[in-house]
Amino acid sequence: MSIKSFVSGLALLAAMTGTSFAGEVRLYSWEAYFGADSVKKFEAETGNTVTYDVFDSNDTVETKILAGNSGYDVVTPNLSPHLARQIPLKAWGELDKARLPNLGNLDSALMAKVTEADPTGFHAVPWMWGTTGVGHNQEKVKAIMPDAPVDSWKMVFDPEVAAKFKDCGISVLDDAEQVLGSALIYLGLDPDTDDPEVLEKAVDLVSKVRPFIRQFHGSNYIAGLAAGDLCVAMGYSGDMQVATNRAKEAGNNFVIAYRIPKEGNLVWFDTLAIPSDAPNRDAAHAFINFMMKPEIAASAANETGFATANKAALGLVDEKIRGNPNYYPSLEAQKKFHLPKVKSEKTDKMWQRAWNRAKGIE
Amino acid sequence: MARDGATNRRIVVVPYLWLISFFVIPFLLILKISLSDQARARPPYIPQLDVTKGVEGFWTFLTALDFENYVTLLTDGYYFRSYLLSLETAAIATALTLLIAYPMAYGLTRARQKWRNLLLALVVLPFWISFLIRVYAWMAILKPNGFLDMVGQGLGFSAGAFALLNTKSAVIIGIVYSYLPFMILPLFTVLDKLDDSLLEASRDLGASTLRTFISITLPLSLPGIYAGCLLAFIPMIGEFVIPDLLGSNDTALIGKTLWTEFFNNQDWPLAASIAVGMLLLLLLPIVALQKAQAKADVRQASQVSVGGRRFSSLNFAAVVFGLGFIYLPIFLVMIFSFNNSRLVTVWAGFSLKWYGVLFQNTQLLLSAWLSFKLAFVSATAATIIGVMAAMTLVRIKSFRGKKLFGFLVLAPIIIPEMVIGLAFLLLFVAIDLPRGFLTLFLAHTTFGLCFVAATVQARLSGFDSTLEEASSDLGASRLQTFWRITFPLILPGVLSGWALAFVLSFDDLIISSLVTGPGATTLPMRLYSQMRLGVTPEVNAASTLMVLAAVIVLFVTLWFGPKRGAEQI
Repeated sequence: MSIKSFVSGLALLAAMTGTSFAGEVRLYSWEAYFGADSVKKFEAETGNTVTYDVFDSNDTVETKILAGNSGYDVVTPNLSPHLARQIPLKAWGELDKARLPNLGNLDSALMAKVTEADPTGFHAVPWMWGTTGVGHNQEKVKAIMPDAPVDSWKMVFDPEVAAKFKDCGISVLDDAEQVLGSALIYLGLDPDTDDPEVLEKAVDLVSKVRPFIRQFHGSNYIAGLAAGDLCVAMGYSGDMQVATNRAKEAGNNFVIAYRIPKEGNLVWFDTLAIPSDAPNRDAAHAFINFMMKPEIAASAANETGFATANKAALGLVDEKIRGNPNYYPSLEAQKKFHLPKVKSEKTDKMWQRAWNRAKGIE
Repeated sequence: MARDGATNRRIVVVPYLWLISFFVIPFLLILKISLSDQARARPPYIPQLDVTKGVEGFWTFLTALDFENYVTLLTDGYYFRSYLLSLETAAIATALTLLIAYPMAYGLTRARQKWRNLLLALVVLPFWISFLIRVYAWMAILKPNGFLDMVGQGLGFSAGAFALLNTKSAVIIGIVYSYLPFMILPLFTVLDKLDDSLLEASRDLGASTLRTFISITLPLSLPGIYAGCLLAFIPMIGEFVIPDLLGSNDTALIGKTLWTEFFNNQDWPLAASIAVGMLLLLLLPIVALQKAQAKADVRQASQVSVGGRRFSSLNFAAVVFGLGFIYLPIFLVMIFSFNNSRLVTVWAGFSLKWYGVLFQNTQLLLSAWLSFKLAFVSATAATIIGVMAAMTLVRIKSFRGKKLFGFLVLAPIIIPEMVIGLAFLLLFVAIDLPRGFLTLFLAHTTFGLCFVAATVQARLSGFDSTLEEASSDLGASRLQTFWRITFPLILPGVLSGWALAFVLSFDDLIISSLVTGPGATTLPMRLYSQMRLGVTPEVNAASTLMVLAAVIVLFVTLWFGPKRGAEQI
């Protein structure tokens, strides 16, 4: 008997008896993005083995997915624009709701946001989510500017405010979509604009505060805030929670706080999805379904500090995080959140060059 | 120069075939993509060759290719400026690297035999710690209120005067540090065979030390300088990770520009054309240099007398300074492995807890073991093939396609790693090779062998072939001659080449993350993914243990190893 027929025989057996399919799940995700024991529990409960590989950016994921035949069964890509623009290319397989009975545990308002990016089908379930806003060192900011507008984009986009924190250290993301998009929101303009003139206003805004910014980087601010080397950082909510925890663990005598800017902001989702050419779709479904169990989703939320999209898990999430409206914002607040839209390649390039000009390298 | 007689011409076959399979074919894929157009497709470019349509399909495909991307490169000044800026940064960094490496390598060769091996091992040893960890240590040194800033304040400078993090200086320091072994090892390899009787003669004839250096030592060490600069300068141009971590990201180095086009915009065609452009721009001057080099090749005596070597105080100072520079971040990594805090850059008391945490972290240990195995196996394969390539280039005077071969040995060094990575990825997808350890091994061996070839070539140039001739005259077979005569003479070059290939493989991030598959996450990939949330001190603990293990192995081999001395030439 060949391995193939053996495996399909197993699948048939599994389908008949209703037990889960035994095999291998090749998982591709961020480092430590699941609860420490969750993967082991999944293995014990379903008999599948999990191979957990890590990536360092959504760009690496996109490259591998576009090259085809990545060999992975479950991946955690960013929803929009990444996954959203890969779905029409048939890069991701349709999920089978019948095999995901735990789907009902997810937050319906967040699911609606996911549908916004995946209107034609059902290719992903949300795993973690969050906002892009401003984190700050409470003690240092208070000492420099007692009435600092910490709940506003002014912290990084208003030259008068930013100038005050120059020496203390300001960090801004190095990402055209995130920074120019947020700047457009601050200016009250369309955050997905394809109008070069509108976009240029965001470029001008960033150019004016650029002299006060120490670094443009996608992740260094976590360690920078936690160590007290930075005062203000534009970044992702989940990362800010990590920075807060790190500062506490280190016994530093300051608090890192994160605020969702009142002018509005961008929102992001990391999803669980199955590549269209995944070798083991059955086990992949079993994995995704398992991760939607309340206690499993909650352990990941507690260990990483990221906000879970699993409503049934909320009761098990640390009250200190869950009670903070900056990490778990109310439905009312969520109305102001904007999910970046997929842009054409031409518009993407225009944004990229605009971002170069904003950083002063062009 | 040697005659063909001593070297079997057939050795050319192995490196030639290897480079054709794992460089030429992937490169042709890149060339094809550079003539395509970006598209929202999978893979993200058009046209795609439709094999079902036969000849007609091929013709449609061929006519759809164009030079549009090259036109963009030439008309849009941004890419060229970005390239020039990178050349400038790499040139400055190379000069500084040479400035530190030359006196140090020279000092090492002056040390007594007993100490020389130990010192050389000490130079290479820190580079067995993943370079991401070393760069992270530099962040702790260069940040505001970091090590350097504190020392500056202690000396009476204002706070922040030496807070160099996120500046161009930090990028240069990081690059110089990371590429130091690429300069020291080829230099050592060449300076080591310098004939002391020439120096003595020069001195006896009344030349000053400076004069002796300029007219004897420097010209004789040119092959080493040439190889070192080549091996450091070229990869520096496309460097991405160091500027990303230490710079402020407001300078458009070509590595970053390429990264943006390739990863952010998923514009593979434009990225491919930038890579081809870089190859063309760099290759011509390098080939010209190589020709000049071959002409200037000086015949050197083979009986190197090392008896008269003295380790002057100047040599001592150079070696100590170099080692200090190399070990400063290493010591910080070791100290912070005992840090009670989770933060890698802030001290909060002594603790051993990270060693406990480390042994719980099987994922990290498995990745470290994978990277070690991979580096060991691929460096060994790269050394075998690389030595063959170097022998071919230096010893076989002419054969069909020698020019092409010389080009092939250099090209993988010149093409930026993300493009090489993409080329490999496309090749492996095309031949349906499951990705994992095997694909990592093939990719690492390919770029490793080029570095080995360049290092060994430097040692072989000016090699005295009369010994080999004598050997064959006395009836030794070619193989005997190689193992008894040639190999011992080029051994320092071979070992240096192996060490470089090991470091390259062990530290590779970008190519690996592209060509790997399920179940094969290398250490740098895991660390870089972890860096998003900040490195934890268990990584420092792992590094400390690795250094300790290496030190123990080193001392055991030096202590109990065969007593060498006189037979070393």
